[in-house]
Amino acid sequence: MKGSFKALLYRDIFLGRKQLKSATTMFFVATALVVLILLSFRHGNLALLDKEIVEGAKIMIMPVVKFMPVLVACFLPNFVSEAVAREESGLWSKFRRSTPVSHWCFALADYTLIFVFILLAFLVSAGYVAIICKIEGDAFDKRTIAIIVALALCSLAFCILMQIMTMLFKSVEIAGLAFTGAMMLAMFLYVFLAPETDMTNDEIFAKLGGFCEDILPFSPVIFISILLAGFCAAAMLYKRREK
Amino acid sequence: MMMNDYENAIEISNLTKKYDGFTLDNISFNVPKGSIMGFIGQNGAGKTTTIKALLNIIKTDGGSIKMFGLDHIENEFEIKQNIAAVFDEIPFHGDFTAKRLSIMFSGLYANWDEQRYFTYLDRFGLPRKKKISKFSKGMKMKLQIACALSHGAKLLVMDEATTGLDPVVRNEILDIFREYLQDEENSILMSSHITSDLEKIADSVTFIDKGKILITGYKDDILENHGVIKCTKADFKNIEKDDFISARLNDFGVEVMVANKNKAKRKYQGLNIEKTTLEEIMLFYVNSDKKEWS
Repeated sequence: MKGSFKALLYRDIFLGRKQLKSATTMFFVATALVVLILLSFRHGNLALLDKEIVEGAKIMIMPVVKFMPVLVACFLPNFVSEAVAREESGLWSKFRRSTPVSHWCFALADYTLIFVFILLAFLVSAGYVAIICKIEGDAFDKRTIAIIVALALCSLAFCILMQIMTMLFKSVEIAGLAFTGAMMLAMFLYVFLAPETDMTNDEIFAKLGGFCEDILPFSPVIFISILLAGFCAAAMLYKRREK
Repeated sequence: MMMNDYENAIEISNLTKKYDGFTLDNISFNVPKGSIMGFIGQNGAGKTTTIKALLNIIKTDGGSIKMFGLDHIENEFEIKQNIAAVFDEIPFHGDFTAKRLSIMFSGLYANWDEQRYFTYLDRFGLPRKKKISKFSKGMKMKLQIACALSHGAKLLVMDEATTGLDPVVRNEILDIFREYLQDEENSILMSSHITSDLEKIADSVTFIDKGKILITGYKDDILENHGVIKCTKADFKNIEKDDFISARLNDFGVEVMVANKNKAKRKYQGLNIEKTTLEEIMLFYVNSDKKEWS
């Protein structure tokens, strides 16, 4: 490709700007909710309850609620896949084939943005969690970072999977249904097949946190592998010709 | 081979593409450099399939395609830097404005000429900051053409691009094409079923029907050679079946399409042979299986 690569990035951002705006708004809404819950625990209705009940509720709710905005932020790169995939299901794919830009270049533009935005999401999430930890007097330790990294990796994988499915089915709606179906199936299988356990929520969170810590050293490799696999899959789907 | 060293902008040889229920059957034709070829056929005849094969959008089952003397797959990206495709529907997202499209196109084509693009926009009276989704069909088509003409393309491939446009807009577009063809390096392949447009502008014509090329050649030769014998049903009985393409029977007599007007004049002296149009030629060829129709 001899043209400007920046123009391809511009195209992706322009097409995905609505999703980008709504994802950013969602992040701020989720953060505001966490702040409201915290305020309620300190000065609101929840603070009026018995101290022991409040502490118990806090231990039960906060580990999950604290990471909600992180999850929302990590879905920020989804705007690229959704915008591009939406275009691909229209007449654009036919026109794209008439241009001198290779399938690798189109995929590279997408994945450059996905890479940049997942890093941005990670930094914003880490900053947010650090502030919440400071307010709550919790430690911003290796385990917390490991959980943020694991969430970022999971959402990256979901974003890429969603893009591949949308390009494959050439419909955002069908891909969304297929993706939700696959997720629900996985969850049902887990519920029915997983061995019964008498672990408490605390113990489950601790186990999950431990698992995240275990995979933290490998996270750069996992991150690059997911990106590379998605990039190659997207390039192949861009290259795919009509029957 | 150098990009300038070619005789035909497009050379299609024995192109075959098989679908369930339709086959593009061994088609061959050339588009000479500096000319405009009308690619005519009814809906479903195989025009779009041919264009898709040309642009490497579909896999073919046989044959070869050369553009500017180069293989269309081996030299795909070099070729595509020099061609522009215009489709019947605008392929860009409705949220783009003409101005924003220019930014995108600068990333697609190395030779994108923004100045020329804005000149075309002004000439066509297209607003720069209005969303494409708010454009009329004619405006959308003009915008596509402005994009196509602003990156120094040597070949325009148009797929039913004038379909659904009013005659005024169509004439404007034909004028632009005439201007474009003043540079003898430029060529156009224009698929359409509106034969009157092609009659005005095309240098050569290719008729396709049911995936087969029925006739290909210079438009003037085709119009010169073909003719319609208008005769009574009694006279028609004297015309040999091998001498005509097909015959249209009506209450007043018979119209018989012949492919060799001079030969027919000599053989059937006394019968009135009139000039014909591309539309009539297409109609009579499409019905050539039946031979006699009404």
